[in-house]
Amino acid sequence: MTAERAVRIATAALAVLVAGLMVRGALVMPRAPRVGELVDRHLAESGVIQPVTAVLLNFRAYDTLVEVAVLLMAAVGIHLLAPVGRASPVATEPLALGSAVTPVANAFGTRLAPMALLMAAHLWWAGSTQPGGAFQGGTVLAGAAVGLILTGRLPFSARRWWLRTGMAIGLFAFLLAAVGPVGGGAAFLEYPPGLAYGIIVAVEGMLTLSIGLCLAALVVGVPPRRPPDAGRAPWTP
Amino acid sequence: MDAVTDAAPVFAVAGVLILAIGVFGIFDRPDLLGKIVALNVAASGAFTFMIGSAPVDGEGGPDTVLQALVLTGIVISISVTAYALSLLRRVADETGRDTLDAVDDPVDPTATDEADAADTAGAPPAPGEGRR
Repeated sequence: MTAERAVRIATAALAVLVAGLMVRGALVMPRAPRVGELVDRHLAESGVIQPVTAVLLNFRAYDTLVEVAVLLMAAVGIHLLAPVGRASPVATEPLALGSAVTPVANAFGTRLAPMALLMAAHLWWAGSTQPGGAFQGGTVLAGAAVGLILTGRLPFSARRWWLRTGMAIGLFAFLLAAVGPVGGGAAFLEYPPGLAYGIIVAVEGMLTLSIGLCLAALVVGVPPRRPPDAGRAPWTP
Repeated sequence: MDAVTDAAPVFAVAGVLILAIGVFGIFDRPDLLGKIVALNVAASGAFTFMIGSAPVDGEGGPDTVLQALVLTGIVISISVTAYALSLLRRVADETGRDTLDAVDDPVDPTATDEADAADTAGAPPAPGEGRR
């Protein structure tokens, strides 16, 4: 048995161990009282009637706040990591941005984008009463944005102020809603009574925009900073 | 027992298996792209396990808090993947390789064109090379 083979077997054993521990944990864990029932009982206080939205934007809003911060940090982080063009020309190849490649992409880019915008707005608005919300709406928005970017219809660069503002505005709106009521004696992330619905819908609207733009930025990536050696032969594997 | 309740244990078992495959891949794949894909496989397994093992409420849906946690996890997973891919692109940019083996030995940016080209040509692992 070679050393490589022994390592693979050990790796497989590790994977089996992880799975086994997970199953064991699930089996021996005491059956906790369902937190979902707690949500149902207090749903009326949350400001919305969709339980998942109530959890995301009210009962466990802290998770969502930090999650949106992580999404923004990832979008900023990939800009910090833009390749500079040293060893591998493939890393500095321009991204697939620019003019439309096929008539199909061309046609779909323009015709689907308005419908996707409508769909994103509907998902945002529906989130308070039905399945939907900022993440679903943002994902549809990101899909429309990626379609437009790839067909060269949406100039997408972090140098544009609207893009930077749009990517960050959801986190700022959420932080404002979290900190604002503290001045009135409420706890962090405690919405004032009666205002919860309005705050959640407003924050979700901003979040839909920011999540859409951040996801689109994560998908298309960042073009390289000035390739130093543009005349180099194309990289071949 | 409705359909959702019946299927839940199947999802939980499938989730654990997918997680195990992903964990194996993270450590077994030599290339960074393979590790990133394996990480996503493992994450999908964890999410499937969470939803599959969640208590099912009267209307047939999994526990709403777990749904919200998994939704959060999916977005974090996307962020981590995109950031990891950017790191991989930077590693490839700096070293011409898609593994961490050569990070301590970056290509000299001041090297002449011939040396640079030769280094780059030899750098990307051929298909199958470095696998076993």
